[in-house]
Amino acid sequence: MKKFLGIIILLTLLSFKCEDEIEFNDNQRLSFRGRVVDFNGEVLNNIPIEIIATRSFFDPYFQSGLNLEEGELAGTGFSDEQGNFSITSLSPLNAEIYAFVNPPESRDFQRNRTSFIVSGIDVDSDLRNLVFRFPNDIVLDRIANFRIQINRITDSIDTLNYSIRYSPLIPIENIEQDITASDIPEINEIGGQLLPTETLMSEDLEMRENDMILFSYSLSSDGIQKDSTITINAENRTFVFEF
Amino acid sequence: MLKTAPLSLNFRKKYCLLLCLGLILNLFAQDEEEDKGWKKYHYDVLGEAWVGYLSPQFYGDNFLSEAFDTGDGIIFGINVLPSDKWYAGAQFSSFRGDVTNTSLVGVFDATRIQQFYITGGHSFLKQESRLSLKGGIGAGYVGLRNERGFERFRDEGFGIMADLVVSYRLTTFLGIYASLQHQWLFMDIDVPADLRSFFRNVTLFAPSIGIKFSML
Repeated sequence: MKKFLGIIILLTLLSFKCEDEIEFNDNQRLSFRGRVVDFNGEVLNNIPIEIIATRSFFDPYFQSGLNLEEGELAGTGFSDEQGNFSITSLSPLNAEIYAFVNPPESRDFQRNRTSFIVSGIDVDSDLRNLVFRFPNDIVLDRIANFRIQINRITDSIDTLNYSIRYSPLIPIENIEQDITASDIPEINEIGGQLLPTETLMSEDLEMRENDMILFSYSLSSDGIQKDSTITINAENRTFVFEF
Repeated sequence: MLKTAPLSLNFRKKYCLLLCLGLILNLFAQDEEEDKGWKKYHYDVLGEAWVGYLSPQFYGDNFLSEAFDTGDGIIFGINVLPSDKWYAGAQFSSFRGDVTNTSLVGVFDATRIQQFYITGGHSFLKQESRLSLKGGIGAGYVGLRNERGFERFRDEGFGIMADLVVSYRLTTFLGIYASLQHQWLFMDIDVPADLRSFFRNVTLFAPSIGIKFSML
């Protein structure tokens, strides 16, 4: 009896495992093609590209908004000397494809560059000729370490409320129609307060070089919000706000 | 000064295997040499079975040549000889290849290539001779059983081949052979138009050596 019970448990476990696994089509391959450049249009070579098949969808708990941990790597390669790539991938059955340029999980991740994702690629509708071409050049900005510093230089005992909005390091271009834009984090935002007892605050952030960030602030006493935009570039890596 | 490269372990293994095979077969041959009536009793071969060691060599601009490191394998088959000059038969071969360039073929670990051919050909020497020289052609199924962890998927197609086989009968029933096959594989893999030639047209040489059993 115990023997039969063991077999039943084993079969049950196997059936659960089989359901989760992504299968691949026999006798079929897909091709993903594009070009990677930097902000100035200079080609970027040796950038890793991964083609991931997954059934999981947007997940707000992940930085990029995508839960790719359950995905299966179906294709991989690098951009060549001209920045071009042509990657052959397996063809997943009943799963969507995410093309991930410079993924942070990759062994060859270019740490000083941003990443880029095209999400929701459907094999049947988006790959009719078995080719997916990225419509435009994929731009990977440099990542800059940026410091925002707030100094209290008056005797005011007001509380300063502030927020900083900046572009995500992993922008997502979603081509899936049934997912709304609100599912995708198009902008990153952090915020905080400078309490009357504090005279100095600083935040160190990783941001995209050449990005425009929006610094918004208000005082608790009047509640009027004021905005200030800052452009990050090679010369401008620190923003000091004094009030 | 020239340096002599040490023999690789793989080559030594093959060399030892061949040496042992030769010694064993020579023992049979010594007994048979005493038989003075060779021509009288040994010409009427109805069929033969053979098994050998296969060392496929892919070449050209195709996915098996560019993205796989193929290993050696096994080949075996049978021939029926309805006449002194002609034969028909079947052969099966199996060997493994490890993926070395995933950007060209997709991400998986390895493949097992299996081929089943129906063959036929012509015997250039008379059967009463210990030495045999045959030339043949064949056509059949080619299957790649691709492995990706515990997952499996297949690539399939058909192949044609031409071969030249030299064999030598050491005894009434036992002989050795060496064969050189050239194969053209036509895979049925759906890919973008500009990759069709790369995935669908595969060429290889498939030399093999082994032993052959004659059925009188």
